[in-house]
Amino acid sequence: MLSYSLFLAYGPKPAKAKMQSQWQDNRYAIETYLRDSKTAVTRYQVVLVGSSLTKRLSFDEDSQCVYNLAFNGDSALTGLSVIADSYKPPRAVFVEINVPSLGSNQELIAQSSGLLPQLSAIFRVENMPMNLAISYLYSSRNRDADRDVIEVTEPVRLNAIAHQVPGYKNTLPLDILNKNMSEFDRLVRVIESKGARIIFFEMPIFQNLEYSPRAVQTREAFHGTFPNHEFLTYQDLAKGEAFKTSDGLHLLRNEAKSVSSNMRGYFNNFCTAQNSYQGFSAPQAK
Amino acid sequence: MNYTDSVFLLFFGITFALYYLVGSLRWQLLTLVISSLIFYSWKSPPLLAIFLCSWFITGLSSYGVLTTNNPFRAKIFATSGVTINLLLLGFFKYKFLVIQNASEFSHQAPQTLIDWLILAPLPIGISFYTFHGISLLADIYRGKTAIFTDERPSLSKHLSETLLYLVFFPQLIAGPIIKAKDFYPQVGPKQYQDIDFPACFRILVVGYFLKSVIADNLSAQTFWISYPYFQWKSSGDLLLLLYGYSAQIFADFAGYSLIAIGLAKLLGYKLPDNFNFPYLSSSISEFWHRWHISLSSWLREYLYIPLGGNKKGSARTYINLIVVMLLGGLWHGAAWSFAIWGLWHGIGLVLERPWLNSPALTSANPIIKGIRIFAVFNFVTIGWLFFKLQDISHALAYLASLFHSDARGMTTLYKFGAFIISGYCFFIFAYHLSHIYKDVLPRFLKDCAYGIMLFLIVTNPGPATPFIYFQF
Repeated sequence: MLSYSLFLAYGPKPAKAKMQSQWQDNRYAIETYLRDSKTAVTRYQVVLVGSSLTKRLSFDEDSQCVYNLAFNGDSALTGLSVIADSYKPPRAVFVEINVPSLGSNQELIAQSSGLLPQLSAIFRVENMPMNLAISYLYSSRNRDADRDVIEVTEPVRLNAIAHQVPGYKNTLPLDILNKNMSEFDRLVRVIESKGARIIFFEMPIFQNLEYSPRAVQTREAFHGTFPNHEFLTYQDLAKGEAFKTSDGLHLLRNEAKSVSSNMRGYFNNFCTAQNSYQGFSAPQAK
Repeated sequence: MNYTDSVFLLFFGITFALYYLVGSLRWQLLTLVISSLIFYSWKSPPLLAIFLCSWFITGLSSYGVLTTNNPFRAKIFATSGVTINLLLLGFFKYKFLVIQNASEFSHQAPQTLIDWLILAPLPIGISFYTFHGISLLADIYRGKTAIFTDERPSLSKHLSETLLYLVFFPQLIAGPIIKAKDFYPQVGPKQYQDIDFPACFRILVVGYFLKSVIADNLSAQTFWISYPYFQWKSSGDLLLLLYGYSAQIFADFAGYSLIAIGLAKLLGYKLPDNFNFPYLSSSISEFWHRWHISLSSWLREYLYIPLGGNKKGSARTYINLIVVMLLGGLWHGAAWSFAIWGLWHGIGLVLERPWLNSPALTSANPIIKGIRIFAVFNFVTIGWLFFKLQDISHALAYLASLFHSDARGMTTLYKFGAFIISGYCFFIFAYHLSHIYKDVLPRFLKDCAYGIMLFLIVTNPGPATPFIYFQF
């Protein structure tokens, strides 16, 4: 253990941390965010929270200002919980509204924000021996290339979309929706009380699903709970384009790049320290 | 409570301390029973009622068998005990095969006891404590008092010892299944000085390593063996994932079993071995002598032999093998895919049986033996698909995709994933290999191996996932 600690402290560092699974990727996102948010130098101005739909967005050019705290297999509530408990919140939090069915993942938060990762580097997820090995071996590769896994052939893609449609024909059970909306309400109040601005956004999905019963129910639930907040609609982010998805929900790589670019226009003001935020009237579109 | 939860470690520490502090047998039994009941009811206290019901029926009927001198009454007691236990298991485990609409009501609160019974989830460990109960009844019926130190115990003593046998927490949830005749003679006062700490430590280190490091990390990869995600993978990816699942299920269950054995040993009880390096098997029948040994020996003793075993001619032997494997498959869960998995192994056993003594299956030539081991491993691995994908159409689609997939070739991520899966599978390979060379491995290498495993348990655990066999 001592030798490993010394190696971590003085040994060569991989160019980029790689995680062996999406669960560890989520954990890494939280650990890094919590560490960075403690110092003024590395504190982010804009944080995005959401599900795997938002996880596909990439803001590498704005990495000093923007942090993507979205999670595969989890919801925006997990990200909001992390921000609510963090040392100091960012100036703006963009909250994805697409997946209100999942609650906050307390187990993930407890693992990532526990005492051990803060106590010693050997307990940090990026320093797990397997993660370190793949970081050395694969970190020089283009990160986008890894995402090829979501690019599929047309028959498989259409089949996956067809699989998605029945679920979106049904609305969510009201008890689950109401419970999670109350949690959204609570966390938004906590974060706003710390001085952050909350902006909701809806990720574009397969066009035929945009007005499905579930999508409409979700949209109405958010607008009903937060009538005075700003919303970026899927049309705002799609800018009139019909995006292709890998399974009806997740954007393909190039479409995700395009949405990232459209979104950048809406938070550029937050990244410029001297400018105060002026709203969405003059977004810097791509 | 999961063996890998920190709350479990605290729970075990308290139980262990109390157990050896109280000293006398009576208080030790009480400590074990109370802590086992807490362990069982931790997440779902109402399901304890079903367990207690099973215990009470087993306790009373076995006491009836034990104390009566009338063979006919003994048979009635034993038969009714076994039947009621099987009915309980059948109802709670297989009701969803019949009650198709129950899941539609799963969000509603039950209004009556009938509603509650219909909507109740599968009680954890019911398959295991039912088999323990049947073992007790069968052993007493066959051997009467031979398994007890006291020939005619009082009803309260018998009920309390039976409660301990059924609820003993290291084996309660997923075995190893210990036969009554092997457990009851062990009930007695235990001394702290008698604990073989080095042996317990080695067993627990290997168990936690297999579960936390191998199985939990592989589970994050084999997630892709689920519908519709597997359709996005190429044939090569799918084969790799299937091998990964084969390693995962072994590491998960063997790891669990070793932890259970190690914990029981710390409390002074010896549970039977459950795995004996199964992927070294060179025939399917050998595999079943090495995999889930406690279940296969239970099935052999209480089902295969009573059915006639291999004593009633070839045709009857084949039928018995198929029936036992089919029921063994269905014991795992209420899905037809488990029956197919059992049938797959049953057919395999039947097909190889005439050739078991042939030169091809008995040759000691390392190349021929290696080919046999590889063939058996692949046969077993294909069977696991029906374990993982419980919708038969999905399992068949996966099998078809192994030969032709609409997805692209090996994707970039999957070259990356291939490294991870192969890395963890290597440990399983090395684990089996170490058994072959166990007599020639120097002591310091073995000690190094334990050190590495301990290091990886601390630094490289995967996301805590429930044991696969908990669902059974």
